[in-house]
Amino acid sequence: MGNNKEIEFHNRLKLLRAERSISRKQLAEAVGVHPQTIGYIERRQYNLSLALAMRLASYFGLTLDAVFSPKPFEPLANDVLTR
Amino acid sequence: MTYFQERLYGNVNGPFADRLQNRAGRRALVLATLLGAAWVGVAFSNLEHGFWWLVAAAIVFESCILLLILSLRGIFELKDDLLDEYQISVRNNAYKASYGLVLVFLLVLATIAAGMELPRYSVFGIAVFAFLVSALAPRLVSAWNLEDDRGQQ
Repeated sequence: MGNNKEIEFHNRLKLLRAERSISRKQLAEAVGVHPQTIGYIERRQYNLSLALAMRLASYFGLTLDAVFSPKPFEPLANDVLTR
Repeated sequence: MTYFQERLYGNVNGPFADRLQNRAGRRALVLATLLGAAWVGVAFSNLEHGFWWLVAAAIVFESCILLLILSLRGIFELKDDLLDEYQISVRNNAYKASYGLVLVFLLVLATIAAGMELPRYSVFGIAVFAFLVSALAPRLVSAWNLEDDRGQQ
């Protein structure tokens, strides 16, 4: 994933944090980065490495594609309402 | 971790450093540092004004550098082990970007200085200014480009 500005990876980190009431600091400590870095990743100002992406997905117990995507995620409400 | 590294790590991640994380503040700090460097250069050029003039300039300049280090969370001073991948990438990109900028800056400064009749002390002052700006260029580039950090929710 590198720091490539051409490909922007969308993520659900903020949503997952909010859902589980985890602060940026707690998440950062769990995956071994600075809390500021979590903020930059959430706001798509930094394209993280594959290793860090896997650590984050594994922290939430999800697969990589459930947390990160090259395309914008569908709002979860759409998924729930169309069931 | 050495004592110095430990203290630095504590300070760059402390509450005071947290207050220096907005883009406008960082950019103001970059401009203040450049002015501080220019003042040190001028002080070197006019040594007849006295030693204390230079001391005052050095104190202002050093204060700017300390604030710059805090606002950048010490990414240029701390060892890689104490940084994460984002901080390392910011630092490396700043070094890459600053090489070209320093080269252009030195060429422009040398061209301007060559076209002027300058006394010897002024040339010395310009050299000091050029040295300080070149040495700080990666920090200045990085502080100028970094985005806002909007708190730790």
